[in-house]
Amino acid sequence: MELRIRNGHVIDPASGVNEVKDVLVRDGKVVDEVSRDAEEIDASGKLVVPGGVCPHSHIAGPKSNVGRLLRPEDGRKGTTSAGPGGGGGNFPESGFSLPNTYAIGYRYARMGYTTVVEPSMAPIEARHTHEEFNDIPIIDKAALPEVGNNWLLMRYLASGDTERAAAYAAWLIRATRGYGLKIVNPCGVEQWSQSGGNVMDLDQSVEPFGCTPRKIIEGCLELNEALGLPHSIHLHANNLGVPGNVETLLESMELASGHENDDRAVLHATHVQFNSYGGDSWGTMSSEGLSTAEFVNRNPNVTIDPAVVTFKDTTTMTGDAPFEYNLQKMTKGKYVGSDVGLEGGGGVVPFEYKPDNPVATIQWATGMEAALGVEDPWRVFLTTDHPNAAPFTDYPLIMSWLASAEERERIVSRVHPVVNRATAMGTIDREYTLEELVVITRSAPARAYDFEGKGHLGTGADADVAIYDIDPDDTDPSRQHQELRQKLQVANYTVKAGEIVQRDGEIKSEPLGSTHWVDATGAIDGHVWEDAMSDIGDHFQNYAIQLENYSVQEQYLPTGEVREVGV
Amino acid sequence: MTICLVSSVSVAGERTGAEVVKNVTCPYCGLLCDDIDVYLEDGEISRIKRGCGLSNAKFVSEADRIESPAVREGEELHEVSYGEAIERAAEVLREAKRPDCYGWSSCSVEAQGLGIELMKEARGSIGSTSAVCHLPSVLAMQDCGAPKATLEQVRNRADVVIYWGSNPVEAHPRHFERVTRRADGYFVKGKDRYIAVVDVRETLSAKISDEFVKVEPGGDYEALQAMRSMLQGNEIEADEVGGVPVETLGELLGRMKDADFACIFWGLGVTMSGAKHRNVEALTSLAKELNDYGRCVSVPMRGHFNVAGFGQVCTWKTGFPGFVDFTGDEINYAPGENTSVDLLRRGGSDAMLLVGSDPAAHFPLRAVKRLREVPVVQVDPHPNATTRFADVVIPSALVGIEAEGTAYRMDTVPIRLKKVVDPPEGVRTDERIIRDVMGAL
Ligand code: SF4
Ligand SMILES: [Zn+2]
Repeated sequence: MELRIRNGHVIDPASGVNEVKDVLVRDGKVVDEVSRDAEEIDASGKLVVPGGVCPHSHIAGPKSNVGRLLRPEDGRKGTTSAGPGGGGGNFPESGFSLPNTYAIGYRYARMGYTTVVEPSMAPIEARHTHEEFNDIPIIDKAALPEVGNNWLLMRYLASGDTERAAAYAAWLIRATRGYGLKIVNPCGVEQWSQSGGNVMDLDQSVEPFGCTPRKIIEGCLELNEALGLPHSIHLHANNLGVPGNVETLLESMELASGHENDDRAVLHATHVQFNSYGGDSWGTMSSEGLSTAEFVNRNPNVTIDPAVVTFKDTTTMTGDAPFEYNLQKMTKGKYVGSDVGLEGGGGVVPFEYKPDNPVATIQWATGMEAALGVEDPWRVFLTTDHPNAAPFTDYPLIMSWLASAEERERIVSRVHPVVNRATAMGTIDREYTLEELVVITRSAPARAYDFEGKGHLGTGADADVAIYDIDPDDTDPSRQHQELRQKLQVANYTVKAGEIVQRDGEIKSEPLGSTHWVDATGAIDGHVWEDAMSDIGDHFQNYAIQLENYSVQEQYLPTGEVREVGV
Repeated sequence: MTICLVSSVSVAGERTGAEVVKNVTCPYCGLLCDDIDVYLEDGEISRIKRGCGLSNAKFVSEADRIESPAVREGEELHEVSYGEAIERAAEVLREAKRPDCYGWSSCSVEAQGLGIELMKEARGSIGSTSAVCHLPSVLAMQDCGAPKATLEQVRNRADVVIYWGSNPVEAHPRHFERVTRRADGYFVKGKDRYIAVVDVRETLSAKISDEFVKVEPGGDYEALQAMRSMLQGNEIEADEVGGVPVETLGELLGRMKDADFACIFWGLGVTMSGAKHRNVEALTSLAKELNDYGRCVSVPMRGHFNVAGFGQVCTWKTGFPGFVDFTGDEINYAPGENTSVDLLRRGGSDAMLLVGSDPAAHFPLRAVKRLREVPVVQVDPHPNATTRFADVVIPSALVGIEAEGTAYRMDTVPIRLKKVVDPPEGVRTDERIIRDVMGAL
C-alpha cells in the first residue's frame, strides 16, 4: 500500500526538517518515491510529525489490571460505545485513569501516538504483561523488567560480580521478552518484604544480601553498557514521594558520571517530579524541580521525564511497595499491595490531586519546573507516569502549559498559595516551541530507546505519522494554548505502519502493533554464561514455578520483534 | 474424592521406554503445580509423577467424554457434524435477545478472551463460575483492596500461616508441600512455620496443623472484626466471639503481630458463608492493618485451575472482572444483576452458552428450572447433569492435557499449560470452537 501525505508542514527534528513537504509511504515505511496510484492525504496547512513515542506509561500487566479490578468506579467513568458513532473501534472502551486494553490503543492513537513503553514488568508475571499487550491494538509496545530488588542480582552486585550479573540480566531480559532494565527503589522493596521498612540512603545495606542501592545502580550502569543495551538504565530512585528526597535523586544521578555512550544517555531518571522535593516535612516541603533540571543541564549523560500532575482523580501504581503502603496510610482508602516472586513488589492506591491542596500544588510545580528547566529538549521526555500523576490522555493539556507562560500564570493564581513560597513557578517564563514539543514527545524518547524506525520521518523510517490541524506558520502556541491542546488531543490522522488507523477521533483500523524486545545473550562469554546458568538453577529452588516454565514462550509474541545486541 | 495425605503420588509402573514430558502444569486446582512428569506410552498417558490424587485422577483416569457434537430433537440428542453444531450454536445466539454465557473456570485464558469477544458480538452477558465461589472476594477487593503476595514470597518468608475457611489437604493437596509445611524457604524452614487452621469443623488440614481454631458457622465476620478491634488496642467484653474464646483469638492475633511475615489463605469457608464479602473485607483489612507491626499478606485459595484467569482477562478487556453485559452500547458491569443465576431467576436471559460448567448441578432450583426452558449450548469435554437437557452439545479438548494455553495461579501468576497428547479424534479446543461460533455468527 502507498500513501502520499501532501503538502503538510513537516516537523521532524531528528532529520533537521521543519518545512512544507510531502511524506511518502510504501509498505509501512517512509520512502523517497511512490507511484501515481498512491492514496493521498491533503495535509496543506497542517502539522505532520512522527507518531508519538511514550517512554513511560503503566499500560499493561498485573499492576494495571489490579488497578482496574480495584476501581470499577474508574472503569465506569470512561465507558464509550464501539463502532461508527461511538469511538469507531471494534471494542467498547472503559476507564478514565485505568482504561481497558482496547481504550489504551484507541486513545493513544487519537492523540497521534504510535509507540508506548510499559516501564515496570515484574519478571515472574511477564507473561501477563505480554497477554495484555496482545489486546492493546494499534500501538507498538515494549516493556522493562524490574531488577532493583532481584535476589540473584543483589547477590552478584553485592560481591561485585558484574560479569555474571550481566549474564543473568541478559537472561532475564530474554526470559521476560523485555527491552531493558528498570530499577525501582533499589533494595527498598526487599527491605519492605522483610520487615515493613525501607531503604533511606544509597549506602544502606539490605541483609543477608549485603547489597546497597549504590551497588545496584553502579553495577547496572556498568552491565547495561557492557551488554550494549539499546536503552540506558531506567531508574525510579529511592525515597520516592518524600520531602527532601531530591538529595537522593541527585546523588543517584551523579553515579552516571564516568559512564558513557556515544548515542544516548546512560541513566534515565524517571518520574522525577516524585523525587525532586525539598524540605524535611510536609509543612516545609518545596519544589526542587529546577535543581533536578539544572543537574541534567550539567550532565549530558542523564535524561529525565517529569511525570506532570494535572489535578485529577487518578490512580497511583508502582513497584515501590513501601511507598504505596505509606500512601494508603494517608488516603485511608482502598489499597492493594503485593510482594512478588524473589523480585520485588508493588502497590496500587487511588489518589486525587486537588488544586487547593498544598502538597498537590507543589507536586504540580515540581513536574513543570523539571520539564521547563531542562534546556536541551532532547533530554527530557513528556510523561505523567500514567496513571500516577495523571492519565496519559492529559499530554495535550501539559503540552499547552509548557508552551504558554500566560496559561501557567493563570493556574498559579488558582492553586494553593504555597505555590508562591515553595516553588519557582512564578519566575519561569520559558515557553516550549512547537518544534521542542515534537522533540519531547517523539524524537527524543525514540532516540533514548534507540527505536531505530521511530521518532523521525527520514527515508526508511517506520511510517508512523500524526497529522494535526495546526498550521505552524499561523499558530502562536503561547496565546492559542487552548486551541493547541484541543488539536493535539485528537489528530486529524494517525498513520501506523503506513495504514490510516484513526481519523478525527474515529478508529479506522486496528492492527496489532509490534512488541519490541531485546536479546543480549550473545554478548556473554560461554563460561560466564554456564556459571550464571548454574546459579540460576540454584536460585530457582526458591521459586514456586519451574525454571523451564518461567520464560515467556514464543506464543505470547505473535508480533514480536527482537533486537539482537552483542552478537 | 481421592484424598492423599502423602501429597505426592506416583502411579506404579515400569519405565519401559516410555516417553516423559517434564514440568507439565496440572490443570486441576488453583495451585497449578507445574512440576508434573507425564509418562506416555503409545501416545497415551500411562502415569504421572509428583501429582496429587486429584491430579492423578485428571491425567490418568478415563472420565466419560462427550463423543460427538449433537443437537437435541425432541427428547433425544442426535449426533451431527461439527459444522452443523457450530451453525446451530450460532443460531441460538443470533436468535436470542439476551444471551448469557457462563463457565470458563476450566478453560485457557485464550479461550476465555475469545468468549468475551463472542458475547460482545452476540450482545449478551458473560461471567465465570466465580459467581459461586470467590465473587465475594472480588467485591471485597473493590471495596477495600488487599495486601497480596505471590506464593514465592510466602514460601520463602512466611513464619506464620493461617488457613481460614480453606482446607488445602483436600482441595489443594500439594499446598503444604509446595508452599508451607514441607516447603523450605530461604528465610524459614517449612517445619518452623506456625500453621493454624480456622474452620467450622476439624478438617484433615486442621488435624495436621499446629493449631485448630473452631469458629461457629457464620461466625467468621465477628471473629475477624474482634481481632481487628483488639489490634487497635480495644478490649473485647465477651468470653467468646463467633464461637471462639476471645483468649484464643487474642493469642492467634499475637502470633500474627509478632510474625516476620504472616499469610492468611482464605477459602470458600470465608466467601460462601455468613457475611460473605464482608468476611473477606474483614480478613483482608486485618491483614493490611497487621503491616503496621510486621508483614502480613493474604491469598485466596482459588479452586478451579483457571477461575482466576477469567477474572484477569475480563478485567483487562472490559475493565471489569466479569458479570458484564454488552446489551447496550456501552459495557455494563453489574454483579448481583448480571450473574447467570440472577438472570435466570428473573427470566432475564433467553439463551445460554455454557463453557466448561454444570449449572444443572450447582445452581439453585429456580434458576435451573428456567435454564431448562431456554435454549442451551454446551461446550464441555465431559457430559454432566446439564447435558441431559442441553440443546446443542459440542465436545472440547482438555486444556492442559490435550491443548495448550495460559492459566492464572491462585496468586495470579500466569502459568503455561502444555499439550501432552492429542484430543480424541474430531474433538476441537475451546479456542477453536469459540472462534468458529464467532465466524458463524
Ligand atoms: S495440588 Fe492442585 S495443581 Fe497441584 S497436583 Fe494437586 S490438583 Fe494439581
Ligand atoms: Zn512509573
